Amino acid sequence: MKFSLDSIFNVDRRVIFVAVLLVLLVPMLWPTGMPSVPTKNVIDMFDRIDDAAIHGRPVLLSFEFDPGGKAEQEPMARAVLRHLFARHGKAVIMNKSGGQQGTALHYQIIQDCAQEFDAVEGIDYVYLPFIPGSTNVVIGLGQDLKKQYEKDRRQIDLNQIPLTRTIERLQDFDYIMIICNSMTTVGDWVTFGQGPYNLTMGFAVLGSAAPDCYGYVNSGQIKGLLGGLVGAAQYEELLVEHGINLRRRFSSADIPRDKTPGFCRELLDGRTTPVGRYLWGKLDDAQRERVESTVRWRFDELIKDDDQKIDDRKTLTDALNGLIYRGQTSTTQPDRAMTQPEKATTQAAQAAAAATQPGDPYDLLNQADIDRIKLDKDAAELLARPDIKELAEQIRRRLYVEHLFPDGLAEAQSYGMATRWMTPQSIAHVVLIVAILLANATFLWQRARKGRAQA
Amino acid sequence: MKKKDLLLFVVFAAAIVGIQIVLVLTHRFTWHGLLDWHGLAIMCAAASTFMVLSQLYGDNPLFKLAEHILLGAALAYGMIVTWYSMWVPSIIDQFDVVGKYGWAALSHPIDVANQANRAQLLGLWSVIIPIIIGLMIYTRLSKKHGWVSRSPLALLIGFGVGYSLPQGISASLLKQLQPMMIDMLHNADTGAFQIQWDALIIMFGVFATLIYFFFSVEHKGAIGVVSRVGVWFLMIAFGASFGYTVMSRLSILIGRINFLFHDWIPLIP
Repeated sequence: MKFSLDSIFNVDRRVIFVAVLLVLLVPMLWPTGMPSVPTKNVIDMFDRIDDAAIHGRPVLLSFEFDPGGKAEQEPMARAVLRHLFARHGKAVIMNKSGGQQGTALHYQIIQDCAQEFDAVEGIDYVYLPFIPGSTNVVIGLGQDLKKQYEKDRRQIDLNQIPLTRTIERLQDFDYIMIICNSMTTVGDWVTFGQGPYNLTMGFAVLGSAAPDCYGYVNSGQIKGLLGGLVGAAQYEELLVEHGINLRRRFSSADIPRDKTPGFCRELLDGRTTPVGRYLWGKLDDAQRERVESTVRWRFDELIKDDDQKIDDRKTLTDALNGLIYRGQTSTTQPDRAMTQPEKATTQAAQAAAAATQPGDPYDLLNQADIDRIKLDKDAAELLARPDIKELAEQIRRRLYVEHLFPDGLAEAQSYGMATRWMTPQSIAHVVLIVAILLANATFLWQRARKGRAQA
Repeated sequence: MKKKDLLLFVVFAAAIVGIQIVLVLTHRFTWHGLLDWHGLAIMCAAASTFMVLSQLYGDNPLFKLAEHILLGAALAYGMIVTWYSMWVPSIIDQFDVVGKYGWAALSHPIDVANQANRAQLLGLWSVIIPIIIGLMIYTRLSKKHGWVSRSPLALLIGFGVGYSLPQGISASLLKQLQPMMIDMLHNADTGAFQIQWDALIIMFGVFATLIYFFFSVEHKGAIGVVSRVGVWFLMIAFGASFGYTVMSRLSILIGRINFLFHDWIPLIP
């Protein structure tokens, strides 16, 4: 068969589509880790959000994407929300033109992340519903936020919500992050938000819009940029680097959806979660019996008062964390007014703590087993330090439980979806580069042949 | 509808339902109860994805159906979202004060707005006047009264241009020029001699590209060389933009593959 340039360029497009599908599908079926190195722009955004979250200063997140940008922008939104919620940061999330079709998607992402880190709506985050317009909204927000948005998603006046009570305009936010899919939106925010009010803002944009944003980055108008899936993967890398994913202990995400409160019963038959597998797979008969009676008693206690409408998911999360921390919950901040479900949850956690005092027969974890944990020299020295000696037992308990739940915690420590998707994307890029180089080489070779023939 | 098209729809629907049944029977897809809306939604989304991707094979009725469903659903969804997030709170709810305070809402609008705890400069008139201005635009539909629409359009254009011109010049021109107006021979932090290559390249790139678009002089000699370099800068920018676009499109495809072979058919771990 005679080989020619035309034969390459005239390949049936369906063959190319199948080839692209295979190039992407195969590495997804057999995933391999492919690290990504965070760039300066991503680190800049991460640091600013981290700083705002640690100091409890509010961050404005504007979700202006629709399901068309889901593949690239959902990982970005999830990464940033997980970051904020893990640090107990304060997020005001809004939605204006560009995000109209994505309203349901946005709220699903927010709910997932909030449940994962037990963030409470109104205290840790507020979702402001979709509002049409772009330029006028940015101008309006700069003048008076509460004229643009009088109420939140739940139709509660912003003046009555603790998080938004003191926020009047854009300048009151420590950092503004816009997840959008068009340069028009970027232009509106920079021109009518950053310029007049000298705001600190960053953008998370589709890959196709990223190159146009670099001009604004270079001029210092944008502080922080996530460009496409790569940007999201780099942000996830930073979350892992800073141990933010590791901060997640047992969380609501471990509890299967639609299973609560039935989960309490299913927990005991050992088929559902790492917790269940632990209960039935790792303990000997005597321990299993003790665990069963304790768990049955504890969950009966926790869910007996249905009238209070306790958030079962959060209650269970706290109870499970109580196993490690002896009921100490870091999710409830003492310096803020607690909602009714939070009070109930705290009471439940305290009940769990009371049941796990040293020497308590209901303690699920066997102290002798905990003591058998072998620590390396550095870790042992660290735990012996006077300043953390009080926490040493807690750390040992955590180590023990982590050892018992390798599957569950492996999930908790895993990278996000963007990192998983980077491998097929990178392989596809390599294949494309090779194809482009081959096509160019063939073109040059053929031109040289034609030239020789004419000569 | 042609008989062939109808057959295609039936076969496609049967294939999707068949796959779904196999998934449920093999416990690879959890179906809750008789009518599981969540499961049904995933199945419909998978079917829609296949219908849209069928365009890759060639134009066909399945793709056209998906296209029309998408347009219709997106429009309807957008209307509902706009109705409940804009019309109801910003317009309809604002007229509650008429029911509560009667004509005083119109005759003493500022007092009523204060009593109703509404931050409106002119009370209810802050809502009525924009509605009237907005409705005036629709007079374009009439040949006789079309001239009325010019006033609100003039207002919009006047405000838009007047407000955005200074802001636009500041944000898109003056601040963009700032990075090129720095000391390129010294480190900004230490003050030591250090050539700022990044800034130099950017400045030369802007200069060369502007020369390329400067058509009052023939592009010969030194000008020709610089303009050719400007073309190179443009080509590099287009290449970077195209590369990012390819990356973006691949991401979208990865998202769909993940949906089909993870959320629907659990093949991807």
